Parts: sequence; C-alpha cells; structure tokens
Amino acid sequence: MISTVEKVLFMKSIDLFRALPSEELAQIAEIAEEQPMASGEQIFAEGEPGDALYLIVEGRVKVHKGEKELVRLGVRDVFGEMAVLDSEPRSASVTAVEDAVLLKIGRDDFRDILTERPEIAMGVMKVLTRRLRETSK
Amino acid sequence: MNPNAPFDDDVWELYHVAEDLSETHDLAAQEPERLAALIAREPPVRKAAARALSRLTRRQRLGIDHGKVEHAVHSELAGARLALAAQKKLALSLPSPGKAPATPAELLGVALLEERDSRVLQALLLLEVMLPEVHLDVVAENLRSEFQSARGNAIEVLDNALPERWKRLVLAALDEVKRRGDQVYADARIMPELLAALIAGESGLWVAACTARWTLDAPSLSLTALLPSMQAALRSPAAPLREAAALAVARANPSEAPRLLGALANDPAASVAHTVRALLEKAAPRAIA
Repeated sequence: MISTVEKVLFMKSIDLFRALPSEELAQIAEIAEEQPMASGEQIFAEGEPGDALYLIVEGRVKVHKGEKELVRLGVRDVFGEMAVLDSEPRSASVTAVEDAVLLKIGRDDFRDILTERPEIAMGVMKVLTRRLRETSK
Repeated sequence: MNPNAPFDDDVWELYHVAEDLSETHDLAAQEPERLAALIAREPPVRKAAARALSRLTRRQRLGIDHGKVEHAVHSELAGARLALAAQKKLALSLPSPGKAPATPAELLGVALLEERDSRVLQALLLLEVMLPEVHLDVVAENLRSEFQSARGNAIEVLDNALPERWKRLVLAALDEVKRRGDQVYADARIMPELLAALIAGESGLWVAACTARWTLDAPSLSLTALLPSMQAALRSPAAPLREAAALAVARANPSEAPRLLGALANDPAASVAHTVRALLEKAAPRAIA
C-alpha cells in the first residue's frame, strides 16, 4: 500500500515530474494506481493502443520487440509517457524481468486532470519542452 | 463602495473606462460570479478570477475598485506569511538545492514554502492589475523555479520594480528581509495548536495532508492529542487529507479504527478506499521513498 503522500515523494524524484509543485503532483498521484507485477509478466504488447504511462517503483522491466531486447529499465524509470498525449499503438512490448511494483497513470484520467487544471498542463508542457531542448542539443 | 462597510458586504464595481467614461455601465452587474470569485475561499477559484481580471486589464483600461484588490493582496500576503511562520516553527529540514524531498518531513517543509510562493504569486498577479506599468508575470514564473539563480534574479527584479510599500511586504513574505521589523518570525502558537490549525486547512488542504502524514513520523508528538483534528479531517473534501488522517487515526486508536474508518472503505476516491481497506486488514503502510 503506497499512500498519496508517499507517491508524491516518489514522483518528485522522477525527472518528468520534479518541476511540478507537490500539490499539483498530488492530483496526479491520486490517479496513479499501484500495480504489482510478477517476474515474466507482460505489462503491454507491441501494437496495443497506448492507454497509460508507468513509473517503476521496484524491480526491473525489459523493453523488447519479439525476442530482441531493446533496453532494461529500473527504479524511477518511466515508460509509455507519450501514450498519455497521443493514442499511437505501442512501439514495443514491455515485460517484468523480476517481481516489480509499478505506478500506472491512465491516459483518460491524466487528460481529465490536464483539462481541469491548466497549471498542471503547463507544468507537463514545460517538462516536455525541456526534454525536446535537451534532445536537440 | 462604502469604505466603512465590512469587506464581505461591499458591492464590487468594475467599469470599462475606455468605452464608458462616465462609469455608468457596471460590468460587475454582468459578471457577478467572477467578481465574487476574487474573494472566494477556494484557491483554484481565486486564482481563476485573478487571472481573468489580469487578462481583462491587460487588454483594456478598466476602472477597478483598487480598495478591493488591495484587500485581496493583503489577504494573500497574510496567507504567505502564515505558511512561512509555520515552516519556521516546525523547523523542518529542507532538501538540498536541486534535490527532491526524501521524507514526509521534507515534503511538508517544501509544501509550506510552495504554499507561501503560491500566495505571493497570487498577490503579484493582483498587484499587476493595480500597477499595469509594472510587469511581473515573468518574474512570478521564475519565483517557482527549481534553479536558485532564476529565483534570485526574480527577487532582484521585484526589489527594483515594486513600489516601496509593496516591496517590503512581498520580500518579507519571501523571507528576503530588507528592514528590521519586516521579518516573519516562527509561529507563536504552541505546537498542538499550530498542528491542529494546519490539519484544519489553514495553509491549504495539501499542506494539511502533508501535516497529517508527517505526524506519524514526528518525534515526541502525541497523536492522541491530535485525534479530534484527525477525525474531523476524515470528512475533508480533499482525498489525500482523508487518506493521511485515516493512517493517523489507525495508528493513534487502532481498537476504534474499524468503527471510525469503516465508511471510508467505500470512499469515492480509489486512493482512500484502497488505503483504508488495507488498514482495516491490518496491513502496515510501506514507505517507498
């Protein structure tokens, strides 16, 4: 059981969310659903509609296309974040490689918050803009 | 406006001066909700109303009752000072610059300072309505920056741009004291009284939730003494506060927890229902940070 205050503490340590004031982050934490995964369990498959982003609280996952592993992700890594803004199909599969705990933020809930709280939308836009700047350096 | 009337009884007036030089066409009559919202209790409502007023005054010259706006500025700055005074009284450690809070104590410290900054930003937005020649929007943005240099620049610009009487109040609320006597001191209330006020939402409902959660870890603090405040917080409209209060109630009075928390097991907020069900099943909360 991870309480909202603890989710905020965790999310504050993640780049995507660190610049958001904690009160605004609490709105997102409230819709972040704790999701335990067993080792070997698939989180989503390539080609599925992207309906959520995930934060890794514990454990590790692999991003793969079929048998080919693309990358391994661990604690505090985020995956599936673009799916909250567009509805493109997943470009790869993700599977837990050890027992893991994830926070799942559903696209529809997240979009509702962005619509109702423009300051949160502005915060997310700033983060994405910063990422874009860093990518284009 | 009657200057001697109680604040809440005053009639707000807003005139579009450019098109209505005689000020006979009262826009307030057309938009009573927006004007009332400027003094609303709920922060999001106040923020939206101030933004709307700021947008209007940027587009066109409006005749505005400055007394009302000034009152709202003082109210925001008083809220900022209250949050800062509480932060000083609790003597909470803060994360190092550029670092994220790692404990509920650090998160409460951060939340109090964010509340302080948020109230100052609201005050600056309203000051810009009264002082259209002073452009504060970019400054305000930088006050919330995680980078110390950006915040330092913002404070320097405020120091140069604001008229003296506002400058002293704004900078003191930001703990940038320019004159003796302006300083915000630690809250004078005894600890249980201050904590009860914070849990009741004196500095906003998010600070209340962080306070309720912090009391679980706070050394030499009697949770039993705070039980009435926690029980009242179980009925708060804010889900994080209901959840944190439930954790505290379960810790302070485990034998009564099923009776006190039973209704929250079906709380409309999934986060609250999930936590309360786990508490009722005697699962221990787990810290992850």
